[in-house]
Amino acid sequence: MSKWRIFALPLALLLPVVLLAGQWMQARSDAAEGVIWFIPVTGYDPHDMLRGHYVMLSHKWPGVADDAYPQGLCIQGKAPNIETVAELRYDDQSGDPLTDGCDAFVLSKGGYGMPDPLRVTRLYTDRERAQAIEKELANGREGTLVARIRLDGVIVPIRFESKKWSPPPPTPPT
Amino acid sequence: MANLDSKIDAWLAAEIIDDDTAARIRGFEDAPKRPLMLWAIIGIGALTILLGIISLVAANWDVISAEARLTIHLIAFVAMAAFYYWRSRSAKGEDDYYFNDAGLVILGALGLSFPPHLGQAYQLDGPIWPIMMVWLIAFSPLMLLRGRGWPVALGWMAALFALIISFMTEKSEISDDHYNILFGVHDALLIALPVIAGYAASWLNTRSDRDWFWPRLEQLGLVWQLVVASLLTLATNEVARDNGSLQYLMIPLTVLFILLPLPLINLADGKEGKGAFAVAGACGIALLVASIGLPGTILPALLFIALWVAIAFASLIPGWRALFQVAVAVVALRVIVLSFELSDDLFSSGLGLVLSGFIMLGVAWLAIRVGRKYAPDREDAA
Repeated sequence: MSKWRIFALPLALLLPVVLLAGQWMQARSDAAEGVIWFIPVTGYDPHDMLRGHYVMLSHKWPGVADDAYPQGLCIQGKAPNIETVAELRYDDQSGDPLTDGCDAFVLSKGGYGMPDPLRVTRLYTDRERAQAIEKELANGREGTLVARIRLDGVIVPIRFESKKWSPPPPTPPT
Repeated sequence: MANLDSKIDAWLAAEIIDDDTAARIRGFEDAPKRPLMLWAIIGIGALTILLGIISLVAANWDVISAEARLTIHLIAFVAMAAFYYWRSRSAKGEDDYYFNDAGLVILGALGLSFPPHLGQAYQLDGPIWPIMMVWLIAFSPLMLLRGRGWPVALGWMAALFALIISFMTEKSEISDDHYNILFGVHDALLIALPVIAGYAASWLNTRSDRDWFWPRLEQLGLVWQLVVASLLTLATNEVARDNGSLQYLMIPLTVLFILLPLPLINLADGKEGKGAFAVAGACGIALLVASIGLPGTILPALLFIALWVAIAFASLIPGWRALFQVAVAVVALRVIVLSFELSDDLFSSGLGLVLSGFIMLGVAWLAIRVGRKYAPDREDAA
């Protein structure tokens, strides 16, 4: 017993190091997953009082009303250009999302008290840049968010671009 | 010290103390003390350096790349862990007490702030409960093996509370219609975790020499149980109003609260065990009654008051003075609030206000009388 006791503290100290490193690896691979899309965005309303090293962006999904609260969205298009967005349909029996026909899909996984990831994205950036973006998007002006949409329906933002999002020219039927 | 010497001379002259006592006081005061001043200077110095580093990093936060920042964070953790290890090998006994808990709290804080830092670096947002769960898995061995006092006990329990609260609020995507007894058992087990941890701590206390640490966990487990039972008792008219998915939670929780302390009765310190069992039983029975669903204002209030009266009686078994006084205060406050709730029609007339004021004064007077007369004696060791 006492022979093993000397290993207890080193192991107890090593365990958090290993798990923290593991979380880091997980975060790296989570952030690298998915396909890049251009998402139209506008300023976040209400004005974010606690803003610091980030900016909140409201999505302006083409074809989805601002006051609609869907559980999921089905995106059609050729990455990174969105053509149409529709509300995701769900299986009546199992409640699973029907994502087969979609080129990408996003799911509302937000819990209570968190902003709905379908409607709002938090982009971490430095303070000055965050204020500049917020100013640029004031009064309903629009910009484009470059983001990865992962295969599990999570949006991972990459950067903000000033140019207003516009629908791509319709692809000629083949 | 010179000041004390002149005082002792004056006391000698006034024949308040004799020569023998004066010699003993001087001997006691001259004995080597913990070098408090030295430690204070070292502490302030360390804090200054730390603040300097923090402000240096904070000022250049945007210039340093995210991965470099995360590397610094992880290196800081490893360095602190190594320092803690070295220090715990070299320092033994009482002196280590303050450093030990401070070191553990710093390690825990560095670990807890790492996932949010990752989220910022990789633009990932997510729920809080997985962060708390990983923290508890990573740090429980360290905290529970090495904790000596309040800071670590409170930190560890707070993490457990945070896990439960964040899980219950963030995972509540199941609608009321789909909530059934299985979800109820699951959630009840989760909510009872701090209570289970508290009982486990009182068992471990009989087999460990850290008798300043384990009782803190016991106490925090008890506090959690009281808060949960009180909140769910207050929610009883919620059960009465709708079909009551809360019932599925309350009934398994009742069973857990009553069954869990049973092994505790056989523990060496019988009185404490019986006290904990009585408190747990009061909470369990109150939940059972609450699960029936009491409508209106008066019945739920009476249930709540009955719960805390029972807790006051239970606290008399082991002589827990603080709990007794808290119980009396809670009962008094609930009665006062009830008097306001019942006289809300009379509020506008002013008469209700006057009556409520008198009831308030009367209840407060009664509570103080009860506290003075029946409260257990103060314990130094408590």
